[in-house]
Amino acid sequence: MLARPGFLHRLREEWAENQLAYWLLVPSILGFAIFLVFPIANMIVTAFSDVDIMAHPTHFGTFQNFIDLAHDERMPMIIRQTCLYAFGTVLIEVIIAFPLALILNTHFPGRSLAKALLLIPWAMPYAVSAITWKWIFHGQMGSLNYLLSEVGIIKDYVVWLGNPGTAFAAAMFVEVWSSVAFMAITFLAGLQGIPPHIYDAAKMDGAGAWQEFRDMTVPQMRNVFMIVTLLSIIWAFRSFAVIWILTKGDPIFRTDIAATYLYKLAFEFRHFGQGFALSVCLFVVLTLFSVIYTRLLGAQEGA
Amino acid sequence: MQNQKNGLSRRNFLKVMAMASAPLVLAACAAPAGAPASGTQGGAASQAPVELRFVAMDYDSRMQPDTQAVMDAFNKSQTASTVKLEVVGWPDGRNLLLTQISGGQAPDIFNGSGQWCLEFTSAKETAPLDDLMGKEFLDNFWESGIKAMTVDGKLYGMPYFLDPRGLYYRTDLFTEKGLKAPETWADVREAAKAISNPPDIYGFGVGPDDYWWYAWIGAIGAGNDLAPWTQDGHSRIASEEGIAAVQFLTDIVLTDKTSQPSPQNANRDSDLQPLFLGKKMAMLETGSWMPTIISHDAPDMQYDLAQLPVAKADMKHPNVFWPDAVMMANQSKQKEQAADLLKFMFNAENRLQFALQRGVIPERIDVGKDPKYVDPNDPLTKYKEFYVKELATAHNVFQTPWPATGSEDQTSVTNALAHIWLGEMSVADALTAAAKEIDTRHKLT
Repeated sequence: MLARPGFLHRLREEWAENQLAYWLLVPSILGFAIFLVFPIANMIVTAFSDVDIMAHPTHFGTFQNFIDLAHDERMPMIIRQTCLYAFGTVLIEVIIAFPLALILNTHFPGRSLAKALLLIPWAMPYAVSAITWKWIFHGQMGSLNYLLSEVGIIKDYVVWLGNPGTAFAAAMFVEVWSSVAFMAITFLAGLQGIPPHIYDAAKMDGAGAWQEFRDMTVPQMRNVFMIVTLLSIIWAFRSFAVIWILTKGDPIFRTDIAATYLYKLAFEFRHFGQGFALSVCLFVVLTLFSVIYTRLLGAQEGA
Repeated sequence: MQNQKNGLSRRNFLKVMAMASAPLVLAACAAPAGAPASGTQGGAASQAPVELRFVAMDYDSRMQPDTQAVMDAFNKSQTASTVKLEVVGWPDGRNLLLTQISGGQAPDIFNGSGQWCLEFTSAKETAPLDDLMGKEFLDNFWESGIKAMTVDGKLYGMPYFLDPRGLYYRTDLFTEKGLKAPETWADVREAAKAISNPPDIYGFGVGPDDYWWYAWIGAIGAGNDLAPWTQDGHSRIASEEGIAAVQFLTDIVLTDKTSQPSPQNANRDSDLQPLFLGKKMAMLETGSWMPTIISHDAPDMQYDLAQLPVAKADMKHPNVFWPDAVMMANQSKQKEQAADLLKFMFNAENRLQFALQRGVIPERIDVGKDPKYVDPNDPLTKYKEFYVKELATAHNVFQTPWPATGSEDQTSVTNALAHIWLGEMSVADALTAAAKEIDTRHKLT
C-alpha cells in the first residue's frame, strides 16, 4: 500500500505543474482583494473606530458606534420599516408573480408580446423608474391625482409622498413594480423546466387541475421559489434608490429603511462611525439570513 | 467515469482562468490612455504648466458652459497653470468632496455652501485666503460677504453667491381683490384667505427649512439678535418668538388652509417655485434669482416684490441669506496658482457676467454699481436694487459659532414642523421636544 503524499508535497507538485496559470491568476485575485475584501475590511475597521467628520478613523478598538446606534431612538422604527419593506414587497411580488408566470406558461395569442411587456419595468434602471413614479405621485402636478379626480374617485388631491402611510405604500409599490417582472420570468423558467410527462402521468391517474398544481407544480418549483425569494429579500433589504428618490426617508424618517438611514447617518449627519456600524449590522443580518435560509433549503432537499 | 469525461479537470479549469486573466495582465502593463511615452517624460515635465482642478456645484443648466468659458479664458490668459473644470450636481456635491478630501484627492478649489466651508474649516481642510488674495483685492467685496466666510479672524472662502430673500406676490390677483402689498403676517393671512382657491390657486407657499427661517426672523425683526442660539449655545427655537413663528405658519397650513398641500415635504425649487411660475400660487418667499427665472419661464406674469413680512407693523423688516463660497483645499500643492485662478474668477468682469447669468446679487461692491448690472432700461433692475439694499441688513444663517451638528439640528426643526402639520403634536410641544433634542446633542442638558 502506497503512502498518500503530504500536503506540502502535493502543493509543490501543483505549483510546478501549473505555475504559469497561477501567476496569470494573480491580477484577478488582486482585483478581488481590492474591490471586495478591502471595502468590507475597511467597513468593519471603521465601525469599530472613532471617526472624525471627514470620515477618517482616529482610534481603532471601540464599541461606541454600536452603543450609540443601540441608543438611537429611531432604530426600532427603522428596523420595523426595513422588515416591513423587505418582507412585504417580496410577499406581494410572489403573490403577483406566481400567477403571472402560470398564465404566461399557457399558450395564448400574444404570449410573446406579453412577456416582452412584462420585462419593461425590470429593464428600466431603478432610478429612472423612481423618478418617473415620483412625478406620477406628485401632489399638485402628478398624473395620478389628475386621473383619479377626473374619474371622480377623489375630490381633493392626495399628497401621496407627503404623508407617512401613503409615502411608504408608494415606495413599496414602486419596488414591487420594478422587481415583479424578474420574479415572474424566473418562475416561468422554472415552470418550463418541469418535465411535461409528469403531468401526463398525473392526468392518466385522474388528477384534476388543482391536484396537478398542488402535487406536481408546487413541489417542483420549491427550489426556484426558495432561491428567488432569498435573492429578492436580500435585494429589498439593500434597496436604496427607490426610497431615496421618492421620499429621502421623509417625513420624519417614516419611510427610511436601513440602507437610507445609514446613508443619512454618515453623509447628512456626519456620524460616519454609526453609519459604518449599521452597515456591519446589515451585513451580518443578511449573511446570517442567507446561511439559515440555504440550510433550510438544503434540509428540505434532503428530506 | 462520466464525470471525468465531461467535467472540467482542475488543470483545464486553471488554464481557462489563466487565459481569461491574461488580457487583464496585458491591460495592467499597458500605458494609460493619454499618458506620455516614457522617453518623452523627463525634460518636458519641468516646463509643463501646473494642472489645477476646480470642482463646481451645478446651480443651473448653464453653469457648466458659463464656468467653462471662464476657465478657458484663464487658461489662455497665462501659461503657469491650466485648470480642469468638473461640474457636479448639488445633491451629490458635498459627499463627492468629502470622499475626495478624505482620500487625499481634494480638488485645488471648489465651491459649495457656507455650511460646508465651516465644516471643512473645522476639520482644517480649507486654506486661509487672506494673504493669498491680499487686502487690496478683498476690499472690493461687501463686508457682510467676507465676514460670512471668516472663522476666527481668517478668511476661508470667497463669497460666491449672496442670496437675500423677498416676498413675491401676484399683482393681478391683489388688484382684483383690492389688496395692498403684504407687510405683516396679518396682511399675508388676509390676502391668502381672499385669494386661495385650491387646487386652482394656493394663497401662500409654505415649506420647512428656509420657510422656518423667514418666519423666525419675521418674529424677531431686524436690528435684534436673529441667531437661533442663546449666548451659552442653547437652542432658541422653543422661545416665545420661536413658537410665534411656527404658529404663524401653522395657522396658514391648518387653520386657514391657504397653503399648498403637504408643506412638510415641500421643496422650494422643485415644488413651490414651479407652482408660482405655473400661476397656481399667489405669494411665495424665495430668492433673488426668481425675477430672472420668471422672465424666462413666465414672462407675462404680473408680480411684484416685497420685503419679508414681520409679526408686527412696527418692526423693521429683516432679511436672511445662505452664502455660498469658493474654497481652496488645504491639500492643494499649488496654492499660489490656485489663488491666481481665484483672483481671475473674482475679477469685476467675470463676477458681473456671473451675476447677470445667474440672477444673483454680486458680492463685489463695484459690480453692484456697474451700469451693465443696474441698467435703467432693464425691467429686472428694480429687483436687483431691492436685493442689493437688503444685503446690508441680511442675517447670515451660517453665522459662527456654527455647530458641527448644524444639519442634524435643522432636521430636528424640520421634523417638529412635520409633526405639527401632520396633526401629531401641538406647536409648543413639538418645538420644546426639538429644542431638547438639539440641546442634548450639544450636551447642554
